[in-house]
Amino acid sequence: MTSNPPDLVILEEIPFTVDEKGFFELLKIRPGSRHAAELADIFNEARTAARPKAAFAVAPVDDKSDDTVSIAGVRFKSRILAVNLKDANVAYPFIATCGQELEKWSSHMSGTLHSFWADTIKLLALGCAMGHLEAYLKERLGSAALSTMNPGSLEDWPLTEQKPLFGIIGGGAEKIGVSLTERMVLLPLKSVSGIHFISEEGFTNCRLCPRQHCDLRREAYEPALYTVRYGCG
Amino acid sequence: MKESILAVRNAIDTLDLDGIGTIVNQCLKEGLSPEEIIREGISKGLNIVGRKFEEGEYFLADLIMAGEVVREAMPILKEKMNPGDAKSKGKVILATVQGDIHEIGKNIVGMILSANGFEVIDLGVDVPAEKIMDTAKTTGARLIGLSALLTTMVTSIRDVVETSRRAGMRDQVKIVIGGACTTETLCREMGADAYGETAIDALRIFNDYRATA
Repeated sequence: MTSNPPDLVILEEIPFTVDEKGFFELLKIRPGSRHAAELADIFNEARTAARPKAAFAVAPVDDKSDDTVSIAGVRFKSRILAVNLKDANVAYPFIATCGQELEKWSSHMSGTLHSFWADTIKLLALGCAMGHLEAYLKERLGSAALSTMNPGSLEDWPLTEQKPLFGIIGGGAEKIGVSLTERMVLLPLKSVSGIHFISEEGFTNCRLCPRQHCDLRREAYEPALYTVRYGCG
Repeated sequence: MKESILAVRNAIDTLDLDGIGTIVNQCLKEGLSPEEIIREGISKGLNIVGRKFEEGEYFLADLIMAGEVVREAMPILKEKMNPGDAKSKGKVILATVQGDIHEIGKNIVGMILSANGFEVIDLGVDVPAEKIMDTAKTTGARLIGLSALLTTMVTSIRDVVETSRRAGMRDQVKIVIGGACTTETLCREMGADAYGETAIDALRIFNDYRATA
């Protein structure tokens, strides 16, 4: 780990801690089946190549209004973010990624099945990066009450807000090999940007997201929450 | 219903990639026609998987594996069919819209459509509207599936709709959209014909269009 004073932290030595047995179960590949050996080879290749990474900034929350919040001098427009940060003095803008190494490795995969396997591996590597970052922050802050918002996950905070977010964390993104296209696609694709913050109430995007079919859903949708907690919708 | 046909359904439902070949060969040995095996075994097996996916019992990995099981069975059946008997349900153009490079969702839709008898023309990712409509012209495909993951790509959906209009083909093609940023409302706003939240929705929509064509 290298720290870039004063505010940027780069996490480059993140282990790829994916359980092989669980991975096979996730992909519905039975031990001993014809595809098992093939998947084991792919998994071992990926395990060797994987270098998940993350970067975050320790940024002051310096101005708040009903619908906007300024972090490290960069203004974001989101009612939900503003409410979530109403008691916060510091926020932690971040980028996490599966890493360019896995992206490059997966580029030779062809066919729907192998591409899906590689995509799942990259998603799990991203999960390692996000999990490691969260654990690191919780330990550093001495608090388990860490919540996250991501631009583009909710209508209230659109994907275009990644641009100002890069205004804060762009240097860290560059160091871990993540770039943002003009149309707001993060590269490598299995990368995620957002803001971590301390919240005793707790927050997850899922509680405000109506999408039914989502393999990543962690909590149930609460339609009334927009009005009750955020006074909008 | 013959036990061997039920075994085909069961092999798809239980994602038995290693067993499907033997089961299909057994069906043929018992005198069942390839068409009957496809109609009563494979299609109905896929219906079961689709239902379980919609009910939340199965996930994307199950859908993909079910598609693989069907892919394993089809060459065995096609070999026994008379030329011309393997009727396609029709051509579907699939593309991830210009600016977007996500492909897994589109590929899964392609796999499910192929497994269900559609001829899929997959144009890949970051596809310009002109290329989509040129392909519709040259191949005669009248069904188009567009994938868009991010909200910044929705204008590319409108581009396809507008390009079809300019080409004088708007009333000849059906444009179906899907992907994380798409909704029923967006579908109406962009002037597309239908929205499918999942690959199973997409299959249902394309089946409906085929039935009313």
